[in-house]
Amino acid sequence: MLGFDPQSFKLTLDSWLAQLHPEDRPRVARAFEDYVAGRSAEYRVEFRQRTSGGHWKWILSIGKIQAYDDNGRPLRMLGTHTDIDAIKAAQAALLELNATLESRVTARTAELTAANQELDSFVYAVSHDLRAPLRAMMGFSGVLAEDLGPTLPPEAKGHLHHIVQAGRKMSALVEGLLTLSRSARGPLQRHRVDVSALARARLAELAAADPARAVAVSVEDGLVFQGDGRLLASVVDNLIDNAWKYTGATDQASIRVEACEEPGYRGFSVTDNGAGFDMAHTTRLFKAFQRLHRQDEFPGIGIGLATVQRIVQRHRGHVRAQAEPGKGAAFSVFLPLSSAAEEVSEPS
Amino acid sequence: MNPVNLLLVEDNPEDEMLALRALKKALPSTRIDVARDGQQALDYLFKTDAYAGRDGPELPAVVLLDISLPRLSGLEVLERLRADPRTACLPVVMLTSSDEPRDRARSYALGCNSFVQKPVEFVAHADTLARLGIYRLSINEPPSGCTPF
Repeated sequence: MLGFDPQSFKLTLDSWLAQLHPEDRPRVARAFEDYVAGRSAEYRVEFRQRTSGGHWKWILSIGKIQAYDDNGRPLRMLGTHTDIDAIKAAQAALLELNATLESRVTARTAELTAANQELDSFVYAVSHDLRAPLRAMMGFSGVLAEDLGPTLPPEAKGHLHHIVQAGRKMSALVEGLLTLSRSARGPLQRHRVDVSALARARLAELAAADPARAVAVSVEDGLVFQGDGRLLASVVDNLIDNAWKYTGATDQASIRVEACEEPGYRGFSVTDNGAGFDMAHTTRLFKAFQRLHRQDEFPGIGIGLATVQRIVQRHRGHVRAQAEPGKGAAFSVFLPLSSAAEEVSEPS
Repeated sequence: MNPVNLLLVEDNPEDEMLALRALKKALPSTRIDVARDGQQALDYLFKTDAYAGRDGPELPAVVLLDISLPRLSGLEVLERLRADPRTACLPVVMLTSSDEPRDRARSYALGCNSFVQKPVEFVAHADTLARLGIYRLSINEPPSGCTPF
């Protein structure tokens, strides 16, 4: 173990102590003396001992007194030395790793925070800087239409209309970008959120804005969850807006908001009987600026479901979609039970 | 009737033109003055520097104050107005490009009377400004405890 020739290796207590690492020697001597004097119940000690090659090797030393003389003084002791060099090395590595882990986490967190803040100010700048020229384009198109509208030839009016339409589209895109970015930043608040009330309010708003539409709506009571009120309201709004939009061409349109659950989760689903989509395209569904319908079928910028998914993931939940072309779509939001249950049991 | 005027603080020339057009249409008899940065707005309101001898009423009936301005930002201007007893109760409407929650929170904390996002749509823009102007000039009364100037 230590590389010495067993034939020539002579060991006395003193020569052995001399081979120990100077830092360990007093500790080993004390452990040995304590045991021999009966002050400790066992002799068991770890130390570094010199090998024949001059290196230090970690040893676990265990010993037991085998015989005492008539006066109760120890005569003979037997024991083992175990090479624990590899264990010690692993332990040291583990300690080192634990010590650096915390500082690495702190460093990474700082990096992420900095990156988030940079993104934050970028989006803030973009939203301001893109809006100003957009307002000018839209504004002066409006001035032209207002001042010259009656005298403009139809073709020119058409061109003006296209400018305004493009401006609206770009405005919606900037808005969507902002919404998406806002849904990803800021601290997550935790309070009681009444999804039933949010859903009813949104449906009422849509009905008021579009009185010609007849949509049968039903919203289950008691859909109460713990989460960020502003963000979950955005989830509800987006899902209900979609249901409203994609039932636009449906006879006897209906929208249902109800409870759903799966092991470890409970949540709510928004189901409509509208245009639906082919489940083969589900992977694109939650990607920003990806759309499954043509603009002339159902206009949109493709940011709603990306926002929904991001918010739900921040709540440690997930979103499931179920749809069939022409039959409708159902989006289910699942929130982890641990947080959902807490909220409901809390008196509010 | 005292002459009524309105101060628009806006550094973007296109926004200024569009705002003036909408305001003049809605409030044909109201004089509209324009300041183009935060410092100019303060000079106008406190009659200092280039505005030391300006004519017109002491203070406008309402200030429409853009948030992002050169020299002093709209928020800094608002802070100074609220800190001075002469303008502590002056009606101030903050105008902003984006409805940024932190700007909104900061504006109300500093004591603005309204916080309005500039709409991109021309018609909405005109309507919003016109309604603000009319609202401020006709309906709104100064908060109790404040002496109108």
